[in-house]
Amino acid sequence: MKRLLIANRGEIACRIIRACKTMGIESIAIYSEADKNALHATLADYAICVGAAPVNESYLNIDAILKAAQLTHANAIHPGYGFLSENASFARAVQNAGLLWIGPHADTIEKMGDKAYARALALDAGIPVLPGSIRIETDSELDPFTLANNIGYPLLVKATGGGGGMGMKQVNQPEELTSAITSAQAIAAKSFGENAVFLEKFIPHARHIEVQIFGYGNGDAIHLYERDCSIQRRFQKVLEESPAPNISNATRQRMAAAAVKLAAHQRYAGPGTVEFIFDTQTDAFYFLEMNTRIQVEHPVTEMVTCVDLVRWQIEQALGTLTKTSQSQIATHGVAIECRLYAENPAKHYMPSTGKLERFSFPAPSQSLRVETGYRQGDVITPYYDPMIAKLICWAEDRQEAIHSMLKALRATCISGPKTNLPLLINILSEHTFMQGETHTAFLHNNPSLLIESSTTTTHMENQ
Amino acid sequence: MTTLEIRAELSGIINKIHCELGTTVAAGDHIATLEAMKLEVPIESSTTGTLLSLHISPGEMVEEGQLLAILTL
Repeated sequence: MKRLLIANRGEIACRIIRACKTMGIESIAIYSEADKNALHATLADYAICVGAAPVNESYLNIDAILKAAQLTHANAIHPGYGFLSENASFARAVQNAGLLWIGPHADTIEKMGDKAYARALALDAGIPVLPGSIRIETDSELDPFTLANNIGYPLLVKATGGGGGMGMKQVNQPEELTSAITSAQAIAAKSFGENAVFLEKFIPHARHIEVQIFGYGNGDAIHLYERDCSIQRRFQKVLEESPAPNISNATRQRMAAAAVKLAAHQRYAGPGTVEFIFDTQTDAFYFLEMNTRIQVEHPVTEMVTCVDLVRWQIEQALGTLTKTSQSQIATHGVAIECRLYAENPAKHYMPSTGKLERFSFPAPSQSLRVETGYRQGDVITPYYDPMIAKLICWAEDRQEAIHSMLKALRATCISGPKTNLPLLINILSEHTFMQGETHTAFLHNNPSLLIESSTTTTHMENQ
Repeated sequence: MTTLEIRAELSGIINKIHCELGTTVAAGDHIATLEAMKLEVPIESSTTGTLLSLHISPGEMVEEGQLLAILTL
């Protein structure tokens, strides 16, 4: 492989370009008309425009991306996360065009992309799953009330093709069931092109814990331990850490073993994530879904294991990857990642756009990574994801990691669009968070954290 | 004639218009849907009225505070 095209934008495109540079591979960035001067387009060896600002015309435009690959003589395509990374048709189209696809087999992407089917696969592999139903299509003759009664309330209605919390509805009592199904089916039809939904038991006191795995494609797989991603808003992650606090080693090992079993069962190739819901009241865990891509929060794992997951991914595609055995993977210390979003937490996390008048971070070091696709003076548009940067801190223990992260956030200066920077500082300063009592309703139950406290405001003005 | 201006609460792209001129809307009815950063935000009528004018079209980018529609009460 000589030239790698990165079918993405923002920080992950920059991350992959960096990996290419250290590996002596030429990088090709794609960009939309809105991203002509974006950092990723500047950093790559070559950059090519693939269409107008809306994602359907550029970053999701399969024909335009393949044409760009052809014009620039790319040999391989890395999809990053989001956009086309879990689109089986894209994976197939890339391979049919004679290019190397940096990702798992298209069939695996397809199977895991269907959340109801993925549950069945997990069950088949002997992994615990939450009580749930089979698929419910719009013309289904199944009685949803019978299905729901068998599961019990509260429950979630989920789109089989869903992701990122889209098409997900919580149902607390039977009266809410019909409207939740109709509404989830409508969102699913619009967002994922198919309207099927399924029901799944809802665990109110839950943590979201996921295991990073790496598969060798032949039935061999290893894990790189877990990440706790419980701090979420609108079913989207805000802060992640590894190892998961307050969980016994025995439980961690059992979750890791379950994840490896599923990956091996699928003959999975490359980095992947097996997500679990962890019931804080019973210590039981259940398979939620498997993500067949490199994830936003992969640096958390990289910092505690000293493994370069993106490099492994590219080397695997090249056929030059040296196999690592499970016993060679150790974790050391604690890593925390904070996602900086251009949004206003005090106003229902409403997106916020505009020019980054100030955008500065503390200097990166061995124990601090700053990943961003933006620079001071860049404009945040409404076209793309609200995540504008992520900070990842490493320290010997959790208390120290929280302390360094707070220090890094307080040395971060952003003006222009509203961001969740004050919220991140409030989360890390919160007593129960410091005790490691994370759970998915954390932000919902601590609404006072969403309001910029006078201390954080004053501090930021002093910067 | 009392009129009410409906302005954008945030910058985004108009992805759908739900009402035609002359339509009577009630408080909470969706006049249009705005999309920003993958999030769909409904543009709601705050009161009962009739849609007098529309200043947007699908696919158009609007800035925070921009005039979107006028209702007669």
